[in-house]
Amino acid sequence: MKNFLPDDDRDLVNFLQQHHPTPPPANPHVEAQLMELIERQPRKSTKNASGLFWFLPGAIAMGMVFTWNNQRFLQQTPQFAQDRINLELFVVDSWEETIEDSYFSATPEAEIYQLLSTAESPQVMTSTTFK
Amino acid sequence: MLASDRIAVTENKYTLLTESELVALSCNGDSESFRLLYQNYQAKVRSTLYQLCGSAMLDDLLQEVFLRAWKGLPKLKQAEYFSTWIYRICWNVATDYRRKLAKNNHKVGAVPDLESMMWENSSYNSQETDLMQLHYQDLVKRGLEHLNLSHRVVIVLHDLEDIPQKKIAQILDIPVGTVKSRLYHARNTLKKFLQQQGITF
Repeated sequence: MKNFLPDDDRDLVNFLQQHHPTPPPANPHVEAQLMELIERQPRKSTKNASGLFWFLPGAIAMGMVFTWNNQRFLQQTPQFAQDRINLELFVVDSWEETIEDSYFSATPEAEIYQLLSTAESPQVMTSTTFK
Repeated sequence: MLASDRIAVTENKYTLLTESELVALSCNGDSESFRLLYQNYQAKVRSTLYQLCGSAMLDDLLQEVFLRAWKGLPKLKQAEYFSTWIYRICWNVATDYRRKLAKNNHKVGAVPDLESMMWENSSYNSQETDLMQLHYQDLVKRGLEHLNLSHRVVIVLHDLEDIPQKKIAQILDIPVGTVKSRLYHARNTLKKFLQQQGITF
């Protein structure tokens, strides 16, 4: 690295390296003291912390997606209601079928059953009908 | 198995590991791996701290760097950046210390006079003290202190610790161009200072 320096810079760097003051010798107990300090401060496991770190944003994101989906579902207009002509046809057809069914299948017993508000149970009625 | 055998096995296990593996083990709370990382880096970190903050609180600052590293290790995403990261912590600890001292109006990294440097050297060097060498050391120390901290750190990391400019940019979180420009200005200031003291290049 020094070869690329101008001459006076190289001389300066050489001078600095040769004569820079050296630190006094270290206290021989520094390493032991440091290790003691380290032992007193056990490191917390980062695995649990990172799990919690990812769990919270994950839960928030899931909650947001869930809420958004729910809102979409609630705001969604039923498809059949969008087409007015189809809806009218459907209502008319349903109505006509109901009338036709009731016309052809009407029996005195069924009519009695439908009109009686105090009918005991449909099972009893069914069993009598099949008999 | 004898206790001594067990130690040998443990040592072998660790000596076979790369720095990235030691960092990964330390991340999981293995303090023995962290001890090896400390042993690998403490001299460099200590020297850098000394050039930036002086000797007053050197061992405390060194401990602070490695304690912060231990606490922050789980946040280090790429083990191969450990070296850059530890220098960055070193820089943060140094700036915090200097800020704290400046608040209390203390002189940061006060220059020891030649006499105290001789005493300091004689206390741990059994060799005969070389007056000329001490004089030059004193000049370099005063020259470094003559620079502002942002220029000094670039000189210390690049010219004394041999760290490439790109890595210094990452450590200090500045563009490479800024590193180059600071290096240029810092060298010129140092040259002028040393020339005033009678040293020419």
